[in-house]
Amino acid sequence: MPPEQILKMLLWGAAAPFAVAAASVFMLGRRADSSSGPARPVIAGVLAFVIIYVVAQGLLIGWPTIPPREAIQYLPLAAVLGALIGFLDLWIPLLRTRWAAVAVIAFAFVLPRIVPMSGKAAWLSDALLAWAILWSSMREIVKSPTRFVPVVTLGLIAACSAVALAGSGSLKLGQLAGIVAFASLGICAAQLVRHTVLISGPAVGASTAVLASALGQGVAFGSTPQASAAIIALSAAVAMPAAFLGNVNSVDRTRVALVGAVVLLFAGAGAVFAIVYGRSPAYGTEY
Amino acid sequence: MRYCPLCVVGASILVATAGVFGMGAMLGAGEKPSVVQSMDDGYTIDGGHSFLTFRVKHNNVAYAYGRFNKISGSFNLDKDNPSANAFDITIDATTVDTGITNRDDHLKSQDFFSVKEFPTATFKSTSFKSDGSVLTCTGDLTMHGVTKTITAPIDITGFGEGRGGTRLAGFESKFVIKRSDFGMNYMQGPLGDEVTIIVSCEGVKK
Repeated sequence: MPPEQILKMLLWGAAAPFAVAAASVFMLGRRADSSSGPARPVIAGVLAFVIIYVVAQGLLIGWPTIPPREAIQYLPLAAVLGALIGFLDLWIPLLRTRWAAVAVIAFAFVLPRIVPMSGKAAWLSDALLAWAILWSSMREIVKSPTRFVPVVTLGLIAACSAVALAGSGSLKLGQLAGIVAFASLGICAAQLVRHTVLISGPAVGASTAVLASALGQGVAFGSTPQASAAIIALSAAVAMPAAFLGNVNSVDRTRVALVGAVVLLFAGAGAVFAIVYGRSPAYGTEY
Repeated sequence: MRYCPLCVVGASILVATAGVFGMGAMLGAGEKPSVVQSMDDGYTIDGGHSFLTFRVKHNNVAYAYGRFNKISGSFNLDKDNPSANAFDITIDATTVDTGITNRDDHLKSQDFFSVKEFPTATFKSTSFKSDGSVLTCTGDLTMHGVTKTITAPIDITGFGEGRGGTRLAGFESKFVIKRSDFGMNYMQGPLGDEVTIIVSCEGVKK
């Protein structure tokens, strides 16, 4: 692969999301220290995430058309919708119950029986299902008193999703999941020196919507095994007990390590499953 | 946690701007292009003797070749009367074949053709022009959800009879497109943007 191509992928898919996310933590950290109240970092945080994702996708694989011409162009829209639903989740008590997630899961099962899920819509059902599971778990994990737990969980799930998608023949989707992983890594690195929590309910609404959509499209249009996507989507739920176990403080390293290990074990298994049972895009000595 | 109501993010409505596309053909000063005729008594493409091959440069070093194994549709061919010509061709994108299954699967994925979203590519002629020796066809090529007007030279390769006296006709066309024009801009560099397409069809009189 030519160096300029590799450079472009690294710049827009990894370095830029990392740097902008890290810079956002520093900027929002100052605001959080001021008297503006805690709401502003939440809103600015999710806006930062959505902007990082949309711009990175545009620069990496091209800007979406309006209306979207192909399924992959719905991912930025998924980020926006996920963020909006995340905000609604904060303000409308009805959505705070587990029944909301149950309703989305039921809808995801019923939807293909009402509307034929083929062609461009083939990914919707799997994506909805994955999002309901992933988001309902992550929206609980953001309440963990250890501030590194949500970002580490999200980052590892995104990284494993990227490996699973790229390893099963969807390189483009893998790169898009990688944007979320590198943004999470940037937030995590910046959080080491600044005490701002950027991963809020709306932010996980947006990020999990992107990841679930990517996994759903990998299953529908690529060769990512459904089981692999399910295992990755469930990994946050499996790690949830560890996120709230025992006495904690905001930098509880043991808890972060425990949650990270559980997520890595589970989501990593999903990624390995995808590499083994999906179809690799590698052929010859080059792509 | 308190939230300022003024900070509530309202739902953004994305308004699709409907573009009006001019469909005027670029008319030359010479012979007037014809309007495509009906293909009721034309030729049905014989999928077993019709081929669509393509080549694209790999790593800017050598050409990689591939083909689509299923091509169907119909056409009219009349070398003396360009206005009687017409093409309506459908290519099954799921049959892309480069000889390596993993590569074919990758080409079928969202990285390239996304065949589950866009299972076919089509070409419909809109006009023909002949300067006496060269027949040129202009038409709409739809691939990967994008329609572009292309112009290609048509070489009428022959007319004849098949088994049982069926009337046959054939043509070949070679032209170059840019895959980025059709939204397939992934892996630019490792794979060239320009794709040379050679289509050779044999048709059986209806």
